[in-house]
Amino acid sequence: MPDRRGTNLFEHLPEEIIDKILIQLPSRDVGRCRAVSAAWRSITSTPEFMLEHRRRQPSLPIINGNGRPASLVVIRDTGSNQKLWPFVPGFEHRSKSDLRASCDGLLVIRHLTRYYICNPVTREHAFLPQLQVRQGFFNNIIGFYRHRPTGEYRVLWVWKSGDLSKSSLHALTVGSEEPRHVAVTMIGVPSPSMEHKLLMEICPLPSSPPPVHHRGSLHWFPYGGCPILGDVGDDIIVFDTEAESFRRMRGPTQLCSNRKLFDMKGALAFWGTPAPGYREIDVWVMQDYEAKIWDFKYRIDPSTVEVSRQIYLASSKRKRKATLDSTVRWFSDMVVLNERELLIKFNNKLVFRYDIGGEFLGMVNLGKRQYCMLLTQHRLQESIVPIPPHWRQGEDEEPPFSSTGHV
Amino acid sequence: MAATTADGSKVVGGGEKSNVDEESKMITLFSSDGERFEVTQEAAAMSQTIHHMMEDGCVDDEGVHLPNVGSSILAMVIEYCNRHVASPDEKEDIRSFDAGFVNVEHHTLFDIIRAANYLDVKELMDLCCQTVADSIKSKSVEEIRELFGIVNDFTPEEEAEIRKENQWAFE
Repeated sequence: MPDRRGTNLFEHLPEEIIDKILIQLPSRDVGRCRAVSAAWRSITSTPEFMLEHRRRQPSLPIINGNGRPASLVVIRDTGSNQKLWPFVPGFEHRSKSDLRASCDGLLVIRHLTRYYICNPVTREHAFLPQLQVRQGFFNNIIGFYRHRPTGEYRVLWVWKSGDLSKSSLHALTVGSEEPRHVAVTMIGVPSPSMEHKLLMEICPLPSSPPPVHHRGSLHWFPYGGCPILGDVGDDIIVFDTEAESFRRMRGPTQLCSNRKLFDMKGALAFWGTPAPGYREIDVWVMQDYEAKIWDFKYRIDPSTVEVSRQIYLASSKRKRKATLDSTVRWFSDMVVLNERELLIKFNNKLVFRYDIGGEFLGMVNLGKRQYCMLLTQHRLQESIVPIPPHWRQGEDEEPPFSSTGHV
Repeated sequence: MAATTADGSKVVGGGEKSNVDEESKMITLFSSDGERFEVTQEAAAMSQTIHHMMEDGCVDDEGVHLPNVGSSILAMVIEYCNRHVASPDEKEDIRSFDAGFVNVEHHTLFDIIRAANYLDVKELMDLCCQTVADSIKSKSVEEIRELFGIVNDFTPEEEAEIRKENQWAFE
């Protein structure tokens, strides 16, 4: 028997090495490691450790099952999907809460009439009193981001009057008392009345997809919106979070109708049909942001996906409970899972995992049966960074989210 | 890689017998317990420590003394370097080699980590640290302490406090 049995293997190991080991652990394991010993606790609790840990976490897509059986779920490429705290499963709870924005592992959630910032990993939350839902007007959150020069987190929203005749833009630095009005400035937009039109263009619906956050700017592509200047070319609306000004940008000209801007692992990407009547979907990625050059990435053909799916099902040794309920007909939406895999929605219902090499990998189902799922375009990058204490002002009397699970 | 026939010294790795090639000059390494290892310069250069010594001209004809690394561990590190230098592009083979390589007792693994740290072999460090991390995943606090022989230096109150603060990790 080796006579070193029982000695602390970690003894005399330089702290940088222990750091290097622990930083590779998933969030929950890091939390548990804090209880192992004083040294492990201090190594895993420094701001540098926690920020680097977050940086290494993958950005995972969130889908909405609308309560059947679960509401918001994080999809992992390991196959183990996870219900997102604090959303409660069950159809009857589906409209109590709503995911409005996400950034750096923090979510902005509407629960009943109130807004909160939540960290679904550590289950911390902070109430945002400034955004309370009130009768007679709408608040549409259009952005949630970290302002790079100051490190502040800011919420950007459009206030709309009940009759939708008036709107204005507001920003709140989380942790501060008062929000502030943001004047809409955009080169080539001379009149203040254009401000209203632009804001209505960005968020025609409360459920409009979130912006793509790239290089300190927020990018929206009004899906189906009409460009205010009449120029169909420059259709992406961009908000520079540092200068707080708007501008327009051109999407790939090779895509025609039925297209959507989405986040491809931090880069701007578009999916769309290459020509009217085509069933294929082409994906273009912004290759060079300065020069505004888009590059073709790959093509998704529903008929080859269907063939791939048939092959997979025919050769699959796994027991299949559900029968094939419908063939793949038309493409509805997609999000990126990782460098090689996509989640694609077909027929406005079926969600597949698909490898960009052309292989069907499996269905995504939140429960036993296939219900409609929404690819929210929100993403979660797990974070164990604690919520700053000064964010918790205006505490409400009864915290609505218990840390042991749901509301 | 050419292997020079040397007089009684260990030649580790390579295995091809060919003429002495200018580009695969050998370098001698001495472990802490005095054993002698012949390695190609290319393999030795995977250690940034040795690489810098070679560049700075600090390696004389005798070789490099490594007082911090014992012979059994040094042999393993050299085996790793030889393998990675030999066929860096055959990803599948390398992956299965690596998996077999780290399938050792924890004591040995930590000795390799210490050696790889001293010799500054980044890839080996990454591999070993990942392996240790994988063995920690999903284990309870007690299991982790048991596995690594770590002493609990918290009072019961302190530990309870930490578990409460990090409740989300314990569900």
